[in-house]
Amino acid sequence: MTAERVYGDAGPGLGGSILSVRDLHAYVGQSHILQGVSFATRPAQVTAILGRNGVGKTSTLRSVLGLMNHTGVIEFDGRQISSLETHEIIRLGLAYVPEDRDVFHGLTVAENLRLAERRGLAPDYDRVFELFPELRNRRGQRAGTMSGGQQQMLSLARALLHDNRLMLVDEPTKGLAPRLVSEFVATLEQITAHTSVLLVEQNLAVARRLADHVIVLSEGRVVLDGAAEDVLADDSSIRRLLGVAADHEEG
Amino acid sequence: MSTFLLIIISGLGLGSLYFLLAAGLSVIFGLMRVLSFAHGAFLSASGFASWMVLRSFETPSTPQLLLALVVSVLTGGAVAYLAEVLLVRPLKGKELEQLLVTVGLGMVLVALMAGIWGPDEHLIPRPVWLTDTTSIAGAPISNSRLLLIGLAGVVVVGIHLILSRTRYGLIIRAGVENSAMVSALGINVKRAFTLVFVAGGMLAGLGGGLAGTYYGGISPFLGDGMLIFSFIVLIIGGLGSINGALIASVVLGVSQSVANYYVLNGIGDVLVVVLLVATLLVRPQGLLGQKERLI
Repeated sequence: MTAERVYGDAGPGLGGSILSVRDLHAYVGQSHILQGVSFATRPAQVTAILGRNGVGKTSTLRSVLGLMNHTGVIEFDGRQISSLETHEIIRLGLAYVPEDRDVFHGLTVAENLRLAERRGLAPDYDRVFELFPELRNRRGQRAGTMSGGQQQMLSLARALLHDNRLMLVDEPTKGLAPRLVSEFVATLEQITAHTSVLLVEQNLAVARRLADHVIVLSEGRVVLDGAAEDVLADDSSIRRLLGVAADHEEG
Repeated sequence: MSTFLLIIISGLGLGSLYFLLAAGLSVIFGLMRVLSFAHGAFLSASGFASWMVLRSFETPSTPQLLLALVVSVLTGGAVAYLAEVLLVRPLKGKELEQLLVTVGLGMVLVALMAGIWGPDEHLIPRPVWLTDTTSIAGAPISNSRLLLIGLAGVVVVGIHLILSRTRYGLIIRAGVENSAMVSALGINVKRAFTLVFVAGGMLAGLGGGLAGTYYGGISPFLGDGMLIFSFIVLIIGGLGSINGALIASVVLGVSQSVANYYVLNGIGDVLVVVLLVATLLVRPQGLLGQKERLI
């Protein structure tokens, strides 16, 4: 199956991309999760990967980061990164905000942040505490005792401790109360103003607000790929592909 | 009263030996998800290294004993380093294969030691003061037990300082929770894997050196015998928990000594198995372990 390009030459293509993925395949056990995914992200843009649960959105991010076995070509800023280890990929200037936050529960907030400091680079604690002032007051608190929203703040804060060229953010609003969703989206808007982002998101309203470029996955393949306003314009088909009802849209 | 104190301190000495082996195994499992069956052989090999140093002296002095302990610690670390780099690391992600390779390595090392030095126990010469006793509350406590308990205490404090005050400690504590996420923060976890495996080998090495002074001799099978109890310590304490390993080591060592003396010689081993079964029934994750599905 070939992805439908919603725009002509105006949308993102491999030329000038910060991240390009070609013919990506990944397996979990016997399941063929990614079946030849190809796309590219452009600098200073938010690329949103949309799709129903289980279509391979998280697997795409994890494959880019070398966190799961895969085949295919992945280039970051023109450099092949498929064979690199996860920590080597991250050190090229990527940051990862995983689904379910994955903060270290037994460590304090300060320790979680200290762990994200990279050797030879000055961490920007001012920016982190400006965006998330609550974390400053909770530095001595164990992350495992914080609420889901506070853990999400910490997860994002870890990724923002240094300037990155591309942030991979997986469902940042998942499980958050509606009030927190709008707060997070506002924060993400600030972040995306100066950093390229590859965003996995189930919440269509969040995707509409943040994304410049949208990729829709279905059954491990890219079925739509184009500028956000074009891809998201056909409301009924996008809802069908994402499996959301009209009243499900939040934000 | 003095007899009871003597039995308790003997139990603490035994528990200290279990802890030295179990502490390393616990962190290795927590971080790498590898259950190393080779660390018992590392302990025996280190014990033989210590014996080779001490046997050249009829009555070794304290500095010579310290030299032997340093050699045994370095031997444990060196053997563990080679095992991690050559055997465990190439099998990364294949937990069953990693477990089996440590089983095989342990068997090979024991057979090698038995082939070189024979299967029988070799007596280890010790400084005179180490064969002597110190009276505590009227109980004549063997100095070798006091040395063992004291050094195990130093190890406990050292491990806690490393885990709480150093960046590697932070990486290890985080890695025990989620090593993939540690990599996703740009940290080379492989280096931490090697460090932890070697540190576990060094602790087994210290255990080997001290076991020689505790039992007065070394044989190729000493480590394997202790390994069984150390695994029981791991399960009772909770896989991946150093504090759990510490508590379980003390409980097991003291229970064994008390039961062997006051009930029936040999019944202590049965009691240990009873404690293991009770833990698995009541609290399968162990005293301080985290609930998780391993398979």
